[in-house]
Amino acid sequence: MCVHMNIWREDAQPGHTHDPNEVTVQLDGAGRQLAELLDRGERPAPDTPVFVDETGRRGRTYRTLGVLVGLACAGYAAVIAVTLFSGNAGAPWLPLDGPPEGRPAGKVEPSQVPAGQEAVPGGSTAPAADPAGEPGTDPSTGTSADPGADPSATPDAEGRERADRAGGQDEPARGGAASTPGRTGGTPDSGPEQPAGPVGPAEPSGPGTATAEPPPPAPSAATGETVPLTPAESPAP
Amino acid sequence: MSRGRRARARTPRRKLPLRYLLPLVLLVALSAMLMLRGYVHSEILADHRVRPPAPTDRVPQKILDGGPVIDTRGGGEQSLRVPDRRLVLTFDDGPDPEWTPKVLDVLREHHAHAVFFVTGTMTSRHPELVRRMVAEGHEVGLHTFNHPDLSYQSTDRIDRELSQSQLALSGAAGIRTSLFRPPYSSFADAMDNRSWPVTRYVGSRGYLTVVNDTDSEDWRRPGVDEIIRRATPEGTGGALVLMHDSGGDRAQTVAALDRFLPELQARGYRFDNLTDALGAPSAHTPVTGLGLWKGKAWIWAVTASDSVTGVLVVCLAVIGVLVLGRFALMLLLSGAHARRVRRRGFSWGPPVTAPVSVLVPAYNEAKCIENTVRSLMAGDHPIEVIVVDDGSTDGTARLVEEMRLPGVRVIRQHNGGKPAALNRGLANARHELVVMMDGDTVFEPSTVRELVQPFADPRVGAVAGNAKVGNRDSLIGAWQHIEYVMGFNLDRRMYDVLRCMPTIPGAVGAFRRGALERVGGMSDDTLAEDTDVTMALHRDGWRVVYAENARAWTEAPETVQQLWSQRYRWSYGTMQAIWKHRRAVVERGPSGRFGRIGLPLVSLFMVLAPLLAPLIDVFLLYGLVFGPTGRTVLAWCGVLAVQLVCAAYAFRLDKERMTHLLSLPLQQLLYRQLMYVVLLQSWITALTGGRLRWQKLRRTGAVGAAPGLIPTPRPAPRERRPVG
Repeated sequence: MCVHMNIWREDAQPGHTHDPNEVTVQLDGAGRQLAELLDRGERPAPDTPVFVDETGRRGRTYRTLGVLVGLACAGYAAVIAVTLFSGNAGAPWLPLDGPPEGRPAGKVEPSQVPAGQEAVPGGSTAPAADPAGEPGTDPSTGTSADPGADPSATPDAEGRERADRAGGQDEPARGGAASTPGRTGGTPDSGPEQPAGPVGPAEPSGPGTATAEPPPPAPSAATGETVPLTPAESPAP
Repeated sequence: MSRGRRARARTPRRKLPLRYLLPLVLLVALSAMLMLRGYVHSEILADHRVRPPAPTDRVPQKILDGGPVIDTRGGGEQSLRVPDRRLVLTFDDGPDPEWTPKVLDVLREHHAHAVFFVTGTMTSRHPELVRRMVAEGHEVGLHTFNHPDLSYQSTDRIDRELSQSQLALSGAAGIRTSLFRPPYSSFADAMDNRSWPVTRYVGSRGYLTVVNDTDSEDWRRPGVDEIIRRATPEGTGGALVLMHDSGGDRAQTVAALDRFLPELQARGYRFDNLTDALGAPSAHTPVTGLGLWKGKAWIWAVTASDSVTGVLVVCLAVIGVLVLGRFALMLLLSGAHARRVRRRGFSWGPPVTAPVSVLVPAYNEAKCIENTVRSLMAGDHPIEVIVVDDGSTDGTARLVEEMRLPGVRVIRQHNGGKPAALNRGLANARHELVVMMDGDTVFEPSTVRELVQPFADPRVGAVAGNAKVGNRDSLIGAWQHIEYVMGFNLDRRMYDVLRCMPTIPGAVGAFRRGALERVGGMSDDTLAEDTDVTMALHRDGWRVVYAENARAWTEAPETVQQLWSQRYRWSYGTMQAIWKHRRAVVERGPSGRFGRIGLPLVSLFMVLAPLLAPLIDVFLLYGLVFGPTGRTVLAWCGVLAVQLVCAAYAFRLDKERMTHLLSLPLQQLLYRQLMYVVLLQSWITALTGGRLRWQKLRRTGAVGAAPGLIPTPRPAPRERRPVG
């Protein structure tokens, strides 16, 4: 009798069966038994495993954050690349007193000065500070360079005429200017690269100075930052 | 109708795989940052060659005989001198954070102006000093970006040096300058056939080349009197003096200036800018608009890279110290543990002979289950075996039944996951001591006996065995073998001594049934139910110990995919378990002890520090390519040596053959990367709250899943159950 009672009581436990072919499972029972085991009074188990967020809200928040961070990083790398490799090596024109000298080639980065505007004492004259190239305006600081116009008077006249024509038309002047600096920029190339070679630059400096005149008026007509010589001058990374 | 159905059946728009893209973008940004820092610290692209003197026959004589200001603009060749009674001080290679402020103070005190020829790198790093120079009326000229000898460089490089210097200057002080001094310059008569073409080229760019005619030689530090003597001109002639405000200890320069300035001012000299002395307008041109913003962006990028790199280096140093400390602790404590348990006469208590229930949860283990069960039957301890078949589809249960072994019971259930299977087995176990293993693990005859001896100590609630890799001959197998021997066993001894073992291997572990019932059995809150239950036992005050002689042989994943899957579950599951038991940090008693020692240890070394591991590789690559290559290689070899020593010690403790250690260097190069990529993905999953395919829906008694929720996926038929 007792034995039967024992067996019967054992059978009452869910999942515990003497039938070797029994396949069906009462998972409800397992759950109930587990719940009975949780007798330490802890708070009930969460419905989802740890970290899992069924609503997807946390996922969306982090996704937005992630996109922002990614854009910031990409932006940072882009800023470095752009500033490093897009630059202008030229110096602003600095008019100097002193002994007469050759035609100054005004390769310069104009900041805020539009065409023909007069020199701020800071020397931030229009890049077109080439006095010969600006017959229309009266650069007071350019007077110092006027004496310098004498040695190469003929090219000056040519330059002046070309400058007049160029003054009215930005694009062609710029287009034309873009091609000439190629030569001006090109000749010094051979110099420093082959210090052992003949002093090449000395030779083309003559025609170089003459052809360099058109460029200055062009930027004077333009308002932009870009110097027409930039295409030739920007260093290859 | 059909259109609607088609619309509903349309696949959702594919989203960017941010979890792979974002780390990549971060890595690119980090590399750019490192390279930028290297560039402005003259570690990348720095050229330190100096040209020896050359003949001067091609330099125009009037230049050689002329003054220190050389005007080669527009193809001309002019020289200018400083007028009488004017002295132009020039400082090279600045600004320096220590000495330039002092020089500026002295100049301001004596109402003197000077010219500073600054390098682009220093300008980028200390823009505020250049701003101060301009504000106080001094003149700034270019001295190239990186200080190379220009006679060795191409015109492209020269252009780059000039344009980048102007960029830095516009960002620092909002100006561009027309003055230039070539590095390594001297007097005008030192111009030679190599440096003259450079001067002509720079002139063609519109710069005035300024050398000097009076060299104070202050860089030699000959003494204040000597500096003043060399800098003083004769009679009343003008002079252009070369001095330095950077590149070493300039205390003598500052002291010399303090005496020199008033002395010569008393003699009627004026200390002016170069352009003031020459009577020309300022050499500075203000920059506005795009140029100014580009300059500012550059300065900002450099500052950001400096600060962030500084922080990262500090983090790495801290982590390095912690990791080395952990290695030292591991060696010490595992040695102590080994000595203690191997001491003659050591015993846990009276020998344990009570029968043990062995639970074998199995899912599609038809290939291995027979070996497993037979190995159990060959054991020397009385056991009953309960094989819980978790809904296998390959006839695992029938295989075991047909073996018709006495003492082996088979229980079938619908697929519910390993925790559910273990709980099922637990409910059906007849004995008090329970051993849990995997369906593909093979025991040795003595394993069960060794595993349950510690239970002679009534405080012990669970025992961890010694899982070994059986397939250790392949490369991946060898790496995991090293990892198991070193990481798991060396670590486990340390954790045993510290009494904070975080996890009992699922392949070989023993528990007291009463202890398990107290903590609620195995839970499927996490993917790492073994870690979860071990932490719960600690919090309940039980001791968890390591039985080194209870060996079990497992088959480690052989393919990268399986390894990835396994480690993903382990790392994600560990993070879940840590988070689940986080309250232990603030609790009292044994729970608090575990929470304040064990949890931080595990969190730091398994979950936080490995996040910075990619940095090690990034810095390693950077150091190899750009930085001090020799020292980088030496440092890496040093770390490898430390790991080799620890691994060798672990192998010796376990009496393993050392030949497998040969693959340790390669493991550091490839295996480690896999591990931290896995950890990173676990972090992302944890943060974003996604559900992994191994996580089951909690069964609350309702039949099947509610419509709309993700249906419970069946694990892939080939997939192995977690080893442990």
